Amino acid sequence: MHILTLGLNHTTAPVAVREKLALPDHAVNQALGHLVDGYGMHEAAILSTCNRSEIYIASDRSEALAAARRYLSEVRGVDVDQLSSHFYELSDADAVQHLFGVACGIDSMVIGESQILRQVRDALEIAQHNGSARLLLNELFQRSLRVGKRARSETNIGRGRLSVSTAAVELASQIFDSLDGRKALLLGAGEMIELTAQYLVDGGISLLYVANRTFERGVELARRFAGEAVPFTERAATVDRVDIVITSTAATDYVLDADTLRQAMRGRRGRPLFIIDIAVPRDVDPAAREIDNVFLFDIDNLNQIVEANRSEREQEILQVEQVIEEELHDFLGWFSALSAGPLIVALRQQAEELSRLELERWSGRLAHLSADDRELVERVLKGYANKMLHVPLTQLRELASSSAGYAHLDTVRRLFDLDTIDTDGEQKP
Amino acid sequence: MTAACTVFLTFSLLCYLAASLLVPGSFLLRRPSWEKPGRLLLGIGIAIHAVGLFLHLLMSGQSPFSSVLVVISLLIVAVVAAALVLDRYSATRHMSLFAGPLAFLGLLYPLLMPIRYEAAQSILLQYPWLGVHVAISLLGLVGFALAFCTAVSYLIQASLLRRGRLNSFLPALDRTASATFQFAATGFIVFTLGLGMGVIWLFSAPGELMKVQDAKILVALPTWLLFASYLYLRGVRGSHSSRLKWLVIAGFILALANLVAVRHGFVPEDQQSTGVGFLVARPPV
Repeated sequence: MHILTLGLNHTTAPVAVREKLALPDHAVNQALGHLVDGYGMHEAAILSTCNRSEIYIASDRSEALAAARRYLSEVRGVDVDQLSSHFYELSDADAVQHLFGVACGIDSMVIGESQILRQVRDALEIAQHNGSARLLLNELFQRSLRVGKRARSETNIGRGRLSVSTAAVELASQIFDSLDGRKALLLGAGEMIELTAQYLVDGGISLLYVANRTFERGVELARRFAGEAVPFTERAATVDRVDIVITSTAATDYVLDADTLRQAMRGRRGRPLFIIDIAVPRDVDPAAREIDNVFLFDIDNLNQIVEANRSEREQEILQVEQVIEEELHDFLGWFSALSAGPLIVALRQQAEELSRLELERWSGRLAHLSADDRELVERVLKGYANKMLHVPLTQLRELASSSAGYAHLDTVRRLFDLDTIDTDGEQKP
Repeated sequence: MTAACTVFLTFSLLCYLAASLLVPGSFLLRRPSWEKPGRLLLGIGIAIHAVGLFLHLLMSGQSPFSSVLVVISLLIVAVVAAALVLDRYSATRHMSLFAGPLAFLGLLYPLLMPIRYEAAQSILLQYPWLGVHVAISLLGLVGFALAFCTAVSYLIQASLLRRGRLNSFLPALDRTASATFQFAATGFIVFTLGLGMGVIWLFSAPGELMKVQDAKILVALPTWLLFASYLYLRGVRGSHSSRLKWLVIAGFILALANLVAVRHGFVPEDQQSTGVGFLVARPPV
């Protein structure tokens, strides 16, 4: 039995190709049914996101990948062979390693993003619901979810925001424990300020004041966030009432100068004030940074944070690969135990070990025996164990070659508690 | 100090040292997996420390609070334990980041210094109110120590933010600001109560035990005033200025200085008390 992957992603195919081969949610159920029933795959799962389309297959057929390509051609109405340069085909350890990497987010466009973990879980649930993820793919996907969680908890791969708007929210969380009940003032009503405000509102901001030169536009934006519009001339007075100021106007002069803010801070009795100035040219006098408890960030600061986060995540890839390597080793141990050879070796080893232990246990009572007699007892025990195993092992070989062979092997493995067979076929102590 | 006690305290010191490297290292070098062992070592450190302390009291036959070693040890164990509990159960996270180095330096000091018992010992044995005064004052110092940790955390966080640097380990500014206030207020109330107990001890013991011009009292007064000023400005005047944190830091450093001043001849030998009391003890006539 092999684990196979056929897929393409943002690094191998442009969006024009990806959109041709993307399988929408409603089509995935049908596709899984076709792959298992119509194309003879033992198991199948599909991971389809905006950046990747991947089919995971468990099959013992050598032409399984070709069949999957053929299926895609038929169902999507494109000649997949012509697009073959965009595809990757992976098998066994490579396929497993790939999925683990995907779950960890190191194969994502935004490295370390966490959405992929949910998408992998969704792919598994759909395949389980369809009955197309049984023993092998179920285990593979479950383990990939585990690897993804480990990577995020044991490394910094998921730390830090990667857009200016979300970086602003991240900054706010360093100043305010919670945004619940906080108030913010928006100076300007552009697209960028609206996006940033949306993230803050999602974070729990209770009230937004909007001050825009065109009052009507301010009213419109305030209404969208259930906020309150204030005249632009009252912006300085409003600073007293808020914890966060986001500004992005087209003004060529500062709309908040240092003296205004110094005065406002006196009225606030030094309560921290978080200012995000995403305007170019800047809206807030940089000298305001010198005022106690004023935390002013301009667009360059935010970009630096985003870049630092991106670079930090890239540096974490090596750590994540170590986690993947550990989990891959474990998975391959489990996987190899599903083939008959190592399982038979492990069963024989277990039988020999039991014989040896029994002999040791009774060695005191058998001390009076001569060396020849002891050897005879040993041979009897081994012979008995071999005879006991002969028929089950013969049956096992036959079952292993059947269509659901690996499932039978897994049952035997569990029955004899052989969970810890190493990748080289040795049973671990 | 017995050999067994020294061994225990040295092991404890090593645990604090390792934790002081691992916990900050986990953040500064971005090795999250170091954090858990660091905290574990801190926990082991205070357990060994407590055993060492017990052995010291058992084998030396000294009373509790009879030396700077015991007093500082009790303070360290209480501060680290509180920090670990806060890290585990409150949003004021990563207190152990500061409590670890504080514990290491705190234990290093009495281990490096010779220990004296005599003067305070005789008084302690005779006047239990001194023990009450020391114990309650120590609890007040625990509050001050925690306020110190959160105040330092605030100033570091504010400084990092000013330089546009994000971190994932220090708590949000408003969290540390309110924690500083709560710890300082609690510590102040208990500490003031401890001072009251000291006065009771003073009047219950015979002989001339206190001199107003004594350094212990001279240092204790500004400590108390610094925390009182901080609480007034923060609690009554409602000021949130980051400069207020320096009052807490200065107050705690003064309290520590007072705690160890007795060791350096700052206070005459014949007037040494246990180190935490702010009353100068003379052997009864």
